Amino acid sequence: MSKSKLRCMCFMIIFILNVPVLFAQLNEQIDLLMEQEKASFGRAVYLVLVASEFCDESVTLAGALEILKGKDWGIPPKEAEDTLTLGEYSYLLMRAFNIQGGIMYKILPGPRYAVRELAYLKLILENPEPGRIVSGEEVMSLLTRVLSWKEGE
Amino acid sequence: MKKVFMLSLLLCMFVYTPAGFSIDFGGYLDNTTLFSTNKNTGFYQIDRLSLWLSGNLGKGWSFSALGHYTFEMDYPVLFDIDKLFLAGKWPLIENGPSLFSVTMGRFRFSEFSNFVLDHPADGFRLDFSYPSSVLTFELGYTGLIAKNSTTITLSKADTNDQDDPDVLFGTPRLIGLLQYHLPEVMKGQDLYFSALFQKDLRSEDQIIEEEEIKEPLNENKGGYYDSLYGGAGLSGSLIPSLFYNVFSYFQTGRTLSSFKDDNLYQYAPVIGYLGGMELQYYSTELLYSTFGLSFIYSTGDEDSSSCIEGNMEGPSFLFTPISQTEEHVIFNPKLGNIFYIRGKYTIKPLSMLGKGITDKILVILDGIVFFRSTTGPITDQDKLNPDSESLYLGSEIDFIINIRPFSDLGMRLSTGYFIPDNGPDGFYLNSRAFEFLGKFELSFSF
Repeated sequence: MSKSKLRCMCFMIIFILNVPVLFAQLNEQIDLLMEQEKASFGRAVYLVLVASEFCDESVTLAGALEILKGKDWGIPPKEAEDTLTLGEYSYLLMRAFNIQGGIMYKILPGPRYAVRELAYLKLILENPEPGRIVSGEEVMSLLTRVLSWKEGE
Repeated sequence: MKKVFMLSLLLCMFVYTPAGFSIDFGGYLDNTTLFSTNKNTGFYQIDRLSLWLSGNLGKGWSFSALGHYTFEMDYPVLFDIDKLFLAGKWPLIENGPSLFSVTMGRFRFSEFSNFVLDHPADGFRLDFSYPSSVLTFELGYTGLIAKNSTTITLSKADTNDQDDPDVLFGTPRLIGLLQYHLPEVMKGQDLYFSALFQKDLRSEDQIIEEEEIKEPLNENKGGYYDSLYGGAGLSGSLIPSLFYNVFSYFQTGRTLSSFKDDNLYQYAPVIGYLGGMELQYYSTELLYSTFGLSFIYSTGDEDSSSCIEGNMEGPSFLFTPISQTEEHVIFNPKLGNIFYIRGKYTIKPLSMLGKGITDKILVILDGIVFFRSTTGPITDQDKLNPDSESLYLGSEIDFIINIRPFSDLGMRLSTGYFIPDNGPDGFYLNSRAFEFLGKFELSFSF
């Protein structure tokens, strides 16, 4: 089994069963995120970057935001405790996992068409409005579905 | 000034989104180019621009709107609203259902099979979801749907309206549906019960009165057509990869009749039946193939002179669905005195080349053999042989290629071949020859 597959499986186990094993800091961040009615930008970025292997799980939230700033993804910087819209989160997932979008996404890459793409792939299951604030639970479930979809690709 | 204010308000809607409130908008551009050997159709072009707006208003409320402009060669200007509704959804009501939802406005009304009703209407819908069942109630009005968007034609007054350029809207009818869905009633089996009605709401001055003298026949007016339907359906999987769907509907109602031995118009009861079964086998190993076999049976009335108000003796046994479905590329008679057997095969022929554009090509081969249930009339009356006793109507073979290279771009090339029964004692005259229809559809969303 490749390293990426193993990492993905571990993520899935933690996400689904929420078993506190191996990644203590990662698990703590997951627990904190799951409690958030409005997911924080910093935690979502941290989880996505760890899951997509752009950073190690030992990195801090501020460190994860610094790594995001260094990427040329066109995601406007925000504070760690700021809320996150479905559009911003979908765009982050598209960039981090290199998901190819449709024609309109290629012409105008951004949150709007990122949401459309994830909804088309049946990863976003309801209310695909880009401006909607997402909860911590929704951040987790969407990330789990993206990881699972990447596995099957 | 007013325009500036409205523009500012619209801009605010898109730019400023308070907590819990979010909206989205977009559109579709659809092109259909078709060519048919049928002289009535020939070359035909349809282009449609649809725009939608949807949003979440918070506290469980949302709204959705979709409207379109269609250019057709026969109807150069056609605007209509496909949906415009406000919906609310609330979970975990104390001592009540686990989910309650309400929808108000224009939306699509449909029962579980879609063969009796699948049509937009203006009204409301209530869904009561319990852990092991869902109860749905819908009530709507069809008289505000643009005439060219409607497929409901049940009476002579409805067909007259279709030909009248001064009439802009569809038939004025009240539609009601009560449906009870038991998901997973047994292991992997879904059970449905459904009761529907439709009531003609035309004013009496548009209608022939009962017991009016019918000599000479009144060609400008017709009667009421009201109907009730009760049905049940079961679907699920028998063994892994083998899925089935069976359903059955009984119909009752009334139709204006002109009995042979009576010179007065009379209403006669309608007693109809519709039944169907479908089997589908999926095989991912065989290039994502599906093998489908289905049949549909609907009762007819051999004493009728036509499918609309043609009853001439006793009750009418002609089954008449509320809306019409178009399942096939060429031959789409309305269900009623129709029986067909269908075999369908789909495959992703290039899926072995891996994920990518080759995986997004789907090929469909569809064969349908049509019969009528009795020697009575069917809705397709083009060049029929009046002396024929034949039950066989003809066969159709459809070959379709679907390609979706991107999530927002889809293409479909359909070809259909209809071979009518036009032999010496055939259902159709010899002048109705083999028909071909080729159709190219392109859909782009933005």
